[in-house]
Amino acid sequence: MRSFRKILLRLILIAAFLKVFDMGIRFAYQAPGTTAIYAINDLKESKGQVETLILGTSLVHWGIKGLQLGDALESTTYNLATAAQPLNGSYYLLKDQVKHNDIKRLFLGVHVSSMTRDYNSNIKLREGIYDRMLSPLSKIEYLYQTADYNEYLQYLFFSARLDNLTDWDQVKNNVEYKLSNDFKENRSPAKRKYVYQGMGDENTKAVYKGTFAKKRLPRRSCWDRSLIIDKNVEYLQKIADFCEEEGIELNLVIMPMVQEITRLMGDMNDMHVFYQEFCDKNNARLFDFYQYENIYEILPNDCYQDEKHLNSKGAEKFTELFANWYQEG
Amino acid sequence: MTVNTVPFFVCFAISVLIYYAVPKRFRWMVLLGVSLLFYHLMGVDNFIYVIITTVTLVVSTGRMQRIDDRLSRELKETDGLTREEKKQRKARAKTLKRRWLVLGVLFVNLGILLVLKYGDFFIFNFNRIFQLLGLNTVNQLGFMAPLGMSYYTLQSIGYALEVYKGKVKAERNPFKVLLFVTYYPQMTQGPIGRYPDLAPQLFRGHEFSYHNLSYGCQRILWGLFKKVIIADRMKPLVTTIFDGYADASGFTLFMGCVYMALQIYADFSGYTDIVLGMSQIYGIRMSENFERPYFANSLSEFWRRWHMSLSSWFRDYVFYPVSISHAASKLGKWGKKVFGSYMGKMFPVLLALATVWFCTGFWHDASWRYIFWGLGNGGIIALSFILQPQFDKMKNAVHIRDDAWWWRGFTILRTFFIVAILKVFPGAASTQQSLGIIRQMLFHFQPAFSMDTLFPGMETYELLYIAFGLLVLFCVSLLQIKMPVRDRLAKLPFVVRWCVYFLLLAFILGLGAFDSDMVGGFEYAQF
Repeated sequence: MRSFRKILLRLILIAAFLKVFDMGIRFAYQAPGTTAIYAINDLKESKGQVETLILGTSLVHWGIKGLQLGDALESTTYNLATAAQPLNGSYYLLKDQVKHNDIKRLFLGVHVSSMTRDYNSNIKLREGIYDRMLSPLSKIEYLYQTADYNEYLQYLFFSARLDNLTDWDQVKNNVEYKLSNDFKENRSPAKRKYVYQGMGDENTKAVYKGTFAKKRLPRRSCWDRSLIIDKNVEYLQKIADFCEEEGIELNLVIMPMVQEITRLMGDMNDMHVFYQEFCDKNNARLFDFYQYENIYEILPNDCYQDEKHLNSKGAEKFTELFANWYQEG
Repeated sequence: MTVNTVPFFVCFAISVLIYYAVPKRFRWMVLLGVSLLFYHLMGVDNFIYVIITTVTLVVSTGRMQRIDDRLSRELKETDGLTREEKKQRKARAKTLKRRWLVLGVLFVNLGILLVLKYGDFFIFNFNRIFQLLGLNTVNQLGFMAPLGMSYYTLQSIGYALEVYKGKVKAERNPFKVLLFVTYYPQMTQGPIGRYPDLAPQLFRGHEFSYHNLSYGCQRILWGLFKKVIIADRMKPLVTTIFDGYADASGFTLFMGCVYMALQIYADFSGYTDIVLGMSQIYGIRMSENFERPYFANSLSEFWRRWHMSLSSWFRDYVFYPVSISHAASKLGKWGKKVFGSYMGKMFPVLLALATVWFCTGFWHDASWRYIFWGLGNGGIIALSFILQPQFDKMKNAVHIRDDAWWWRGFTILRTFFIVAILKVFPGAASTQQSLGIIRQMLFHFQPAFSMDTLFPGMETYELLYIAFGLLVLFCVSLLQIKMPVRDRLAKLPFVVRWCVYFLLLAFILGLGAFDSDMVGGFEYAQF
């Protein structure tokens, strides 16, 4: 019994040290531009209020303004889409959110890459998803289901993710910003091209200049059913099943891109058929903006920050358009 | 799942809890269960080879034990046997035992290892001869030796030989034998346990001891420090140099050999520290595998300090038997006649050395480069034996004392560079590449001292981490000479001691390499 108390005390001591050490390293080394910092603060603040959730890749993250859509739908909306979010990431984020909020509606951004790309190979993307989870149990489940044994430590400890601890200038800048009022008010540094857009509505004002000159896209960026990865289909189905179980209304959204790149992306009608079949089977709705009449006139190139992502102006227009389409039924 | 991953430590912690929760007499069963689970989690679903090894061990050692028991009963019960008759019975018993040893252990277990690990090597080389002779070639087998087979086969053979010699009694419980064969901390990379030392500890339930827990955890931390800060950080440097050998200068390749010597030491001794620490937590003291090998003054001393469990295995079960064998004594007599008394005495030793080093090289991998590496080590040790009188004369002539600090320093460095140069064989991906590297080192040495030639592909901060790790390793090794570092730590006040632990933890997390392309298994697990 004496040994047990002794061990327990020491375990608490070790856990406390690890927590403090990791928090210290995170404070000093995590770049203030990391959107996960602000997202998790917003998520904690809005616990129990979120009814509408947006998940998906950066197309959705920059394309849909959470606050604006929430106002239009009269429902607290959170945009939890992240850069290149794989569908397994969306699935576990959704499961985590359901533990803390009464989610009624899900808008899931899908596109070519949702089916054809294996984003699991990128640990940075997966860490971003892990960092946005509220519940420790969700984190453990996500880790167990998606991470390699060798990667666990990187997920669990920020200090294990760092490469260079000797970049003192970076540390100085980070600490300075984190001690500022902007940071305390959950605002990411304005110097960045992209700024946080979870609940808020900041987005870049940069305008796409129409300089896309490529004649071909990488194979996995073009729609081709033979390139579909089974794991992605499996997780899309899991999302649908989970939504049905939890009584969440599932909506798939296919975001538009500038016309020059869309032309190179293969048979987009077939992609529409693929997702439509999925929606029909799973009692979901599909909002395919390639099928939207005059989409290129409504959202011309100056609504984009690059060939794929909408800018601030485009996101505002798109969100309005989307809200209307959704409400029209 | 390797021993340096979080899930492994979680499983280990749970197993420790269960181990101490169950009654003492069942604790060995917990170890067996965890060992089998670990083997499964390592991705090996095929237990058949472990089972075959265990069954043959149980049957053959059991038979040998029965022969021994019968003999001692006969000798006790039968009065009036002459000395000659007793000798005859003993000889007959030995012959019978040898049959079981050869059949059950050497033939089956070594046979499985030979077929699975070395089958394709033999076929490949025979095919080359067949091609030269214009004969048809044979298809390769394509077998893969299961994880840890090289280690557990040696361990099993060692046990059988001990029973054969009558030094230990055979274990009749097959599950206990299975535990001895598969005990998970040592399964993939040793240390190769000796039955008389390890088995009683495995089978006896140990009392929980806070001292063991504390010392075990310290040792695990130290092992992780070596693994993640030195070995894993240096791995890309070694890989970059050896992979790009065709474009690298001989100097850079020489540095690659030096880095590999350090990296492999940190990797292997780090692993050993982790598994020895884990075992200590169960209350089991496994044999040490390293004793500051880079402080050795000669190559033979180095091999007494490096991978000690393997070296001592080959010493006891190959070197001694070969050096006192009939063939060796015949060779000695012939050598005495032809080369004189000194060389005559040397010949049996040289034969035993050649056999041991051929086996050591071949045990590591089924390839010519490892055979060359083994023979290279053996050759240098043999030369140092043969030329010892000349060296002694030279040292006396120039008044060099063996205990002079500068001479000791010189011999330590000399030994380190010999070990490092020999890494040209294991460091390369193939025998051809080894020969290419040697050619570059001999004919295109081109020393240059830029970052690109000394540390290709490395960032300054990574070098700082490695240098720091090596410095700590060096200081700890120096401290260990007089007294184990853990004993020193135990004497420090609580706060200072815990500051050391926390620093170690912080270094591991902050300076360790955890990128998935750096971390992974341990180098010696491939053998």
